[in-house]
Amino acid sequence: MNSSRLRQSGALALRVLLGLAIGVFAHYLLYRLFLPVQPFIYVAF
Amino acid sequence: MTFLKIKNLVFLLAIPIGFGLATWFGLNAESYSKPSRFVRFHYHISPETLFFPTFSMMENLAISRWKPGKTIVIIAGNSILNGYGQNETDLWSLRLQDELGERYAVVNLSFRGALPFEGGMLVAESLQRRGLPVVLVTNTSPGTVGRVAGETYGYLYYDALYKQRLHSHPARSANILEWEETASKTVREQQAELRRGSLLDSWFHFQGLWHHVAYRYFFTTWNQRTRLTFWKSRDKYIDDLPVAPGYEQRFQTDLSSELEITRGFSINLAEYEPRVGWKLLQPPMEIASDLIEDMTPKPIRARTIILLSQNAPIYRSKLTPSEQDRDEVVCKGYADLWRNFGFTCKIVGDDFDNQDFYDRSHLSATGGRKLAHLVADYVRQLTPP
Repeated sequence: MNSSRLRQSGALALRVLLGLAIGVFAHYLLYRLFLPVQPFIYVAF
Repeated sequence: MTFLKIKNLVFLLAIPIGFGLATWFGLNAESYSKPSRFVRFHYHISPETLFFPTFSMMENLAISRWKPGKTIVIIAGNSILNGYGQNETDLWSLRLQDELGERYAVVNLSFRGALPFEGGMLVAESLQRRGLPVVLVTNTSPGTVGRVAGETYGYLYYDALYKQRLHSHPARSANILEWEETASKTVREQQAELRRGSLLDSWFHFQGLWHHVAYRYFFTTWNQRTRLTFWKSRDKYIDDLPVAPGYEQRFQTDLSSELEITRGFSINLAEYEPRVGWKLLQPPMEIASDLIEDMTPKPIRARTIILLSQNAPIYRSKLTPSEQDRDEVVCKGYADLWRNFGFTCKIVGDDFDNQDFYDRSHLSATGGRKLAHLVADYVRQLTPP
């Protein structure tokens, strides 16, 4: 009984962590999406 | 409800919570994140290595140096004011701080390749809006005004605009929209994407969080300049901008192309009329006037020092006497134009030696010291005790 509860809690915690990670990753993707592909090239003249 | 359904529900709920937490961290980062021991924007904390300092980062740099009773001196402008040619310890803006003393807090927010009103001016504007005493020092060449958006550092304008940090100045946005209508499809798309990005960022603060992570913890994007160490946090990098070598090793670049650029400072801005001499051409003057009027809100003008940077004498002295006269007429004419709009405008470099220059336009350590001395005087005149 106890080990089954423990497994269920573990599975729930894993889902929470996975969900949080996906949410944070989506936030990071927004940053990457708006990052220019090429850096600015400065030529001194 | 079955356990499977509960698991899936928890998973789905955790996604927006994770996103919300990241947004909250981003919002917080915007209130404190800034480069530590900041002297200037060197290669590794600038768009040359895909690090795009956020507007709030620049604002934090300025505010962190301010205390009641101090005036913040914001340095904007291009590579000349960025101190390209001076090592970090000899940087002219550090000498300016020494000259001005405790009553002032000098912050060098200039970028290589920036136009006079990109970036730093917007920070000065935002600080002025908050009621802080501020002086803006920026530079350009005669005839060059440019917009706050549309070039490399234009992202800072949208960043500040969507976070409501700027004076209300409808002429500025109208001018930018008008320019966009005449621009190519690619430029229009780039601008639209910048605006979309800044609007989303004003809701979700992803630039604040991930630039903070990039500066403090790790960087996630490869680029040519950082190569195999691209993942290193940007606080680990040192300022390695070029430093002027010994005098005999300077001015080695092709003379004819340098002279071409030196002539280019005034060649299209004046015409010669027999018996009258050099006379300023009206169309470029009108373009410059419109841009000054549209890009700069009135309150910032009285607190701004525009420096018109001269070329090294080694090149100016090789111009014909007539070209030198034209240069003088153009410099004086454009300095007057800026003054008519309420700016303080000075021509700098006229009386500097070749030793004071690293190359045609950038200053060496000695040139930097002379510049600091001049600018300190101008700042004091603008802010009497």
